[in-house]
Amino acid sequence: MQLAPLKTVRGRLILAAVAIEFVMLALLVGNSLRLLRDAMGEQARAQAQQIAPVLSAALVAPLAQYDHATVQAVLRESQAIKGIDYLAVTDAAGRVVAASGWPAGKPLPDTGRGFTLDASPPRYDVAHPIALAGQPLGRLQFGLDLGQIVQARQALFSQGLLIAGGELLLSGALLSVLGLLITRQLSALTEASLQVARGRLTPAPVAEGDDDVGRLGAAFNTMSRAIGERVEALQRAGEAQARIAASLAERNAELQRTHIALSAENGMRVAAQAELEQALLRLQDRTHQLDEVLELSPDGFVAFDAQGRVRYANQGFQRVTGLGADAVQGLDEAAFGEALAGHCAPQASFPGLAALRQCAEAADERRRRVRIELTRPAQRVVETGVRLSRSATVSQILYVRDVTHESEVDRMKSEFLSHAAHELRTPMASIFGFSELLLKRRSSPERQQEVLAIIHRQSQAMIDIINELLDLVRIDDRRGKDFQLERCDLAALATAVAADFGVPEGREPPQLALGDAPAEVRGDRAKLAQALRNILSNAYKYSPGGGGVRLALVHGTADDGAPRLGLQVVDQGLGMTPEQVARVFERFYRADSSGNIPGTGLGMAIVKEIVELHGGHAELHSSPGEGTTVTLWLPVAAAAAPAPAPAPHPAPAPAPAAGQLVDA
Amino acid sequence: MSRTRRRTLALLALLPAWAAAAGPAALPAAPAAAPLRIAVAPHTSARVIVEMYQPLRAHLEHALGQRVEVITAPDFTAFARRAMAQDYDLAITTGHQARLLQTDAGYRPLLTYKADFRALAVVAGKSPHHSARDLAGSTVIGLSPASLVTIWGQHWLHRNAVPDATMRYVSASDSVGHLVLKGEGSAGFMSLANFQGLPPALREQLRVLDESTSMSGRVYVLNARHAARQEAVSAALWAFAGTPEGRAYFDRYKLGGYRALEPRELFAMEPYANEVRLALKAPPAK
Repeated sequence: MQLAPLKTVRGRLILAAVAIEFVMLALLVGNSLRLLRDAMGEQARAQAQQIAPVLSAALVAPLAQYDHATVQAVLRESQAIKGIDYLAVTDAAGRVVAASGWPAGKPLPDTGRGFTLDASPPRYDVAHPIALAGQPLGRLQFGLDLGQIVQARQALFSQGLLIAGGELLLSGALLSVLGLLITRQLSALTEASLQVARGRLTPAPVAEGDDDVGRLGAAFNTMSRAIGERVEALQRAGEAQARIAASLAERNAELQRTHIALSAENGMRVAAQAELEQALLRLQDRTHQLDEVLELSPDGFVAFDAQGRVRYANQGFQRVTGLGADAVQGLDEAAFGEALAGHCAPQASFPGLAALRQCAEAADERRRRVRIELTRPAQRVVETGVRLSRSATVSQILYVRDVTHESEVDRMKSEFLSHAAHELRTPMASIFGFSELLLKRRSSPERQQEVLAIIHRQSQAMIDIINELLDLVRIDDRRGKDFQLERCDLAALATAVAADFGVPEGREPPQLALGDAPAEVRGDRAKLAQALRNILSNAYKYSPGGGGVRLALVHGTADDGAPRLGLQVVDQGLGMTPEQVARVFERFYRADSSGNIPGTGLGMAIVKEIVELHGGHAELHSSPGEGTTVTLWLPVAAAAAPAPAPAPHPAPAPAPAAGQLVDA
Repeated sequence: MSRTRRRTLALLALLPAWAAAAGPAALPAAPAAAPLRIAVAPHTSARVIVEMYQPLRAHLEHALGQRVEVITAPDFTAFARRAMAQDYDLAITTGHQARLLQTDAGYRPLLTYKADFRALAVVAGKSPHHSARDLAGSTVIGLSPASLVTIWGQHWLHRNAVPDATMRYVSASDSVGHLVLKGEGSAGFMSLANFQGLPPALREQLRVLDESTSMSGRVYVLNARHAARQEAVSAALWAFAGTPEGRAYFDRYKLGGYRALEPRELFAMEPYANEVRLALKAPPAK
């Protein structure tokens, strides 16, 4: 096959060598020209720098004298210097006053282009100012002839081109011969390679030898033989590969069938697992809810495992007993019982889990629970019980419940009943005794009348007690829901109560100090009148020695700054000790222990309940022998505010505020 | 041809004339850029004159707001000829030329230096010449024929009836002294100021044979075309005398400052001015 010259290695090598040589020769010639230009330029500049000051000095005086003929003569003589093409002098206004070698009237050339060999004509134009003592006198301009330099450069350039051309031709011829000698055997190798490429894998052997190309031919022959052997081996391997491929296809079909079966089974398992996960989630949710319930429960729970050791104790148990889960976790029954008993009062200690298990078998629900009393972390009454479990992991559950409040309520009820029975028994005993006297003993009509009066009086006392008890019970039950709340003027109410009040015989009616200022509260008139009557009644009863009773309306301010009104009753009676004052609002408490002063012991309790259900409070100050001052404080009715809702429970009495008499 | 086309062609024909008329007017900077020429009579070398008057030049440029150049002439005759041809704006020259320029060219006298101006007749110190008559038949050296000291010298020779004296003219006053010492002339004429400005070694070898009375030395005269600016120029000159540069200038050249001209001071120069007038009428030397 015949290739284009540039497609062959030989052609490219020759081309590359010639190109490199061309570049180097171009650089050589170019550099020579550059050096010539720089050297000549420097020489021209130096010459100009030497000429200009000398000429300038010679021209100063004739220019100052306007002696242009002398200037012209100087220029003419100066142009004789070799290499100066022309000279000209302009005055300070730029007019040409003298010139030599330059046509008259023709503008002077521009000197700004500097030194260049490419100008036409070849000339270096230089300008130099002429000045004396700072006064510009004119300008000297001259041109240096660069013709010789340009000729030298052209000669250098043309000779350089000639030498470079010859050099290139010789190099090309020499390289062509060398390339032909080197690549002759390579051509045979190329032909053999092309035969291999066309499919003839074992071409005729090429020439071999000891030089590089001969060794390349030997290597090619070896490679050719090896390729033939490899082709034969590849054919055999191809047949074996075809057999293996058929076998693999059969195995693949079998695996596909197995895969389908396994996929179906796997689907069922996945569905079952999804159901299990759903069930587990539900179970976790349930467990979570149960944990929340247990943690929120005010009752305490302790779970024991099959070995009788504490497995779990909730927050409620810690709140009730003060024993945290970490303190009881892992304790056996005995240790747990001992720990819990350590927090109990000796007279009502924890009986132990075995005793509780026995109680759990009782048929009566109440007997299944045992009350114990804790002294730590606080004084508490606690009900405990055990519930046996059928679970495999929990054997029994101990529960504890704080029944302190219920227990206290029970105690107060019992105490109240005891007080009430005691108070009722006294007049009842009189009634029973005097009625029996009437039945069994005959007596004069006067005596009968006297006994009947006693029976009547005692009955009246019983009725009073029962009425006041009913009042108190009603107030307790209703908690003010039956109050008829309305705006009422306390002054008017106090005036009416004072007018209707049955003053004991021989006593003066209460002295009123109610003032004229509006004094409206929202309240139940009847209840407030009842409370005022009670404290007026006490004022008269507890001042047996006489003395005036004063009923006043006072204004004050609550702790929160809200205005309030007070109905104040002041007596000058027996007075009370601080201990008596502290208990005066207790039910059935009576300051008089002699029995000479009638009363049920419920009046002040009723007063306290009524006032507190109106959002106020009762205030009492007393000293023995000096009398007592009772003030019923009530909040002032707002202008258009709704009535205060009756307090569901008696509010804690605010600190007493200083009352001020309206017209004191 | 329509009337409109004729009008257009007429306007086009007028364009070159209009351009020629508008050309100079289109160069407004040219008149303003023309420098004020101060021409100093060539009483010494051009290089010395230009250097000497640089402080005045700088002051006037600043005061008048105009470029100023200091020039001179190759000799007194050329100087007088150019001044008469109105080449100068402000001339600083000797009294007799100032008188000539005043009467014949319309220049306006402004002021002069305070320093005394006298003309001297000098001889070599060792020479046998001790009176004017000793100079008979010899060569006497002077500056330009139009210079005041030379004219005074010629009048001095005439008044002293010196017979057959031959005048030789040179360009610089120091040349006069050198030539006298070398024996090129029996005597020489120079101004007192130039004599005092000679190198001491040279001056000590010379002897003053006679001296003139006080004359107007260098007088400032203003060209009549600047009559409107006379007060401004005069004020600028007087102001220069008050500046540190001006005082230094007067001290250096022993000029003493400026003074106003006496009423008939220049009139006294008339005989000398007439000599110049006659010289200018004579054909220039070849």
